[in-house]
Amino acid sequence: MKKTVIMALLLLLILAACKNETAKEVKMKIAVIETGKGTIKAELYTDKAPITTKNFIELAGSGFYNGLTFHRVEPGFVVQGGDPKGDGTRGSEKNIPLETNQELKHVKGALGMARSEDPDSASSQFYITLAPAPFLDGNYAVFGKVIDGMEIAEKINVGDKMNRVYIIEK
Amino acid sequence: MNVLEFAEKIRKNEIDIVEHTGKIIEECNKINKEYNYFNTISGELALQQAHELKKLIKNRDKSIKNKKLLGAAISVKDSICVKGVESTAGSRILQGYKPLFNATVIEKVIKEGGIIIGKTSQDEFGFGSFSTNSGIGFKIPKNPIDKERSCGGSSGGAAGLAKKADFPHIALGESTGGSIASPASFCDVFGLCPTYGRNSRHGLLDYGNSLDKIGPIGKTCYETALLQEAIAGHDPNDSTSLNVQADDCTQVLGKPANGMKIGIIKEAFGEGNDEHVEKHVNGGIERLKEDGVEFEEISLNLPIKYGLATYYMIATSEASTNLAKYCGMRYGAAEKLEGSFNEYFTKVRSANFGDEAKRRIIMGTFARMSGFRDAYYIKAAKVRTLIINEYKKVFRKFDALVSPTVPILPPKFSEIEKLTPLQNYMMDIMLVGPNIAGLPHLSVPVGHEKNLPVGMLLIGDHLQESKLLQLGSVFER
Repeated sequence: MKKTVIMALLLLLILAACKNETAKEVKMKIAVIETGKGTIKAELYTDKAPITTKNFIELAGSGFYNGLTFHRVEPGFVVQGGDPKGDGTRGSEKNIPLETNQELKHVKGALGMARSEDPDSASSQFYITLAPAPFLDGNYAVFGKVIDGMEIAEKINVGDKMNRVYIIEK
Repeated sequence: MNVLEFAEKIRKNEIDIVEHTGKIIEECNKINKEYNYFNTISGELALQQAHELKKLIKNRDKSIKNKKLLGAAISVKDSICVKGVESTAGSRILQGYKPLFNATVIEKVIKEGGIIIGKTSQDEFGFGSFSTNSGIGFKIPKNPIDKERSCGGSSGGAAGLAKKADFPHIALGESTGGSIASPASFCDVFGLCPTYGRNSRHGLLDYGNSLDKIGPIGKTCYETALLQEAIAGHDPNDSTSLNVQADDCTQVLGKPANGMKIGIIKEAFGEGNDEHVEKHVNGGIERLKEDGVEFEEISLNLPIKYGLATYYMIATSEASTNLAKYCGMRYGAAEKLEGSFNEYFTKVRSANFGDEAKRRIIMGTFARMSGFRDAYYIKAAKVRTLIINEYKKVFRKFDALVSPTVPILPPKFSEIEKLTPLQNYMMDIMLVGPNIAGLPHLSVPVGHEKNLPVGMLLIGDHLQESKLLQLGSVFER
C-alpha cells in the first residue's frame, strides 16, 4: 500500500514537471518590431542568451526603442538600429557583457547585438542579418531570430523608423 | 669612388669636406631640376654638418676613425623625419611641417658621419608602385635611364638619385609593401628591405605600422650593406624594434656563396611576366650557379594567390587609422577655423589629400567597420599568419628564395595612366609576400633589356639580411 502511494506521488511529480515544460514552451517570448513598411517578429532565445535577451526585453518594455531608426543598412549583410542619436555612435546607459553560445549562429535573420571594438560594449543597438555571416559567430551575441516579416527586414532603408518595439508571449 | 674610399680620403684630409658638400648640393639642385628626386634639398643642414666634421678632422678627433659613413651624402625618403627640415611624406597635408626631432635612423646616420642632403620624392605616404601618386603640388620623379619612364615606387626619388648621383651617396628608403625593391629594380640599383623590426621606425611618418620598414638603397651592394649596418639595432623608442644584435653586414660581402641553397618560386615565373624580365632573372640565377649556389624549384602558393588581397586589407586598414591624425589641427596644412569639427576636418582633408590617399582611407575605413572588421580585416590577419607559416616551412630547407622583383620593365608614364587601380596594385605581386611576412628582401640589378634595367628579388628568412647581401655581392665581382 505504502509503495503504491509513493509510486502515485512520483507519477504526479513527473506529470507536474512535464506540465511545467510545456508551459515554458508556450511562453516563448517574441519581439515585435513595427515599421512603416510592416512588422518584423523575432523569437528571443531567453534560455540560451539570458543576459542579452533580458537587456533587450527591459529596453523594449520601457519604450526605449519606440521611434528610433535603422541607421545602418548594408545590403547582403545587416540592417542595424536602436541608437537614440540615430547615427550609430550612442546606446542605452548600460553595457552588457558579450554573451555567446555555440548553438547560436549568424544564420539569415539572426538578431544580434552590435558593439564597438570592446566585446563587452553592447547596449541597445542591434542588427538583423540579411544573409548568413559565420565570421561573426562567437564574436557577437546572437539572441534571437526573425520568424515572421523577413521580407520587411530586407526592405528597410537607412532612416526607417521602428514605430513601436514590444514583447509578446506565445 | 665608393663611400668607403671616399671616407678614407676625407679622413686623410685629401678632400675638403665642406667644399665637397657645397658641390654636392649644387649638383643635387641641378639633378632635381631635370629629374624631381627631391621634395626638399637641405643644403644648410648639410653644410652645417660638413663644418662640424671638418672641425673634428682638423682636431684629429678619435671618433673620426670609426665613423662608417664619414662625409658620405645620405638622402632621406620624405616620410622619415629630419629635425628642422620639412618632412611631408609627399603630402600637401603635411606641407610646412618641420619635425622637432630626428628619426632614430637619422640620429644613427649623423653619428656615423653621414651628411643629410635632403628629402626624396615619393608616392604620397607611400601609396603607390610608380611614384606617380605624389601628393597635390608635388613633382613626379623620372627614371634616371629614361625620363619618359617611372622610377618605381614608392621610394622613387631615393632610387633614382642612387643611380644618378656621381658623388658618394646612399639613399634611405622605406617599404610597406614593396617600396624599396620596386624602385631599386626600375632604377638599376640595390635595395634592401630589412626584417620587420630590424631598423627602428621611430620618427617615420607611418603608413602601416605592422608593415613599415626603413632600409637602404645604393649603387653598390657594399654601400647598401654599409648603410644597413649603420642604422640597424634595437631602439627603446620603437616598441616593435627587435632586441637583437645588429649584424656586421659588410663582413660577409664577397665571401663565396657556394653551398647555399635557393628556392625558385615556381608561381612567380611564367604567365604575367615580361619575357625579357624572366630572361635576365634566369641569367642571374645562372650567375649564382657558377658560384656554386644550388637551386631547386618550389611551390609557394599562398603568398602569390592571397598576398595582394591580404596586404591591401591590412595596409589600408592601418593607413586609414594613421591618417586620421592629419585633420588640420596638429600638423602641417590648416584652414580658417570655422564650422563644426566635422565640417572643419572634412574641409582640410578634402583639400589636402590626393586621390590615392583618399581611396585608401575609404577602403581601410570600410574594412574596419563593425562587422566588416570580422569579415575582412581579421580574416586577412589570419591569412597573414598562414602566409608566414608557409614561408617559415620553406626556410627550413633554403637559405633564400628567388623571383623577379617586378613582373615588367620600367613602364612609360603614358602607360601607367591607362592602368586601373587594381592593375596598379598587381605590380607588387612578388613583393607583398615578404613584406607582409616581415621577411628581408634584396633587389639585385641583374641585367638590361635595351638599356632598361631588370631586378632579381632575393628573399631571406627573418634576420638573414647578411646572407642576402652576400649573395648580392656576387653581382659586384
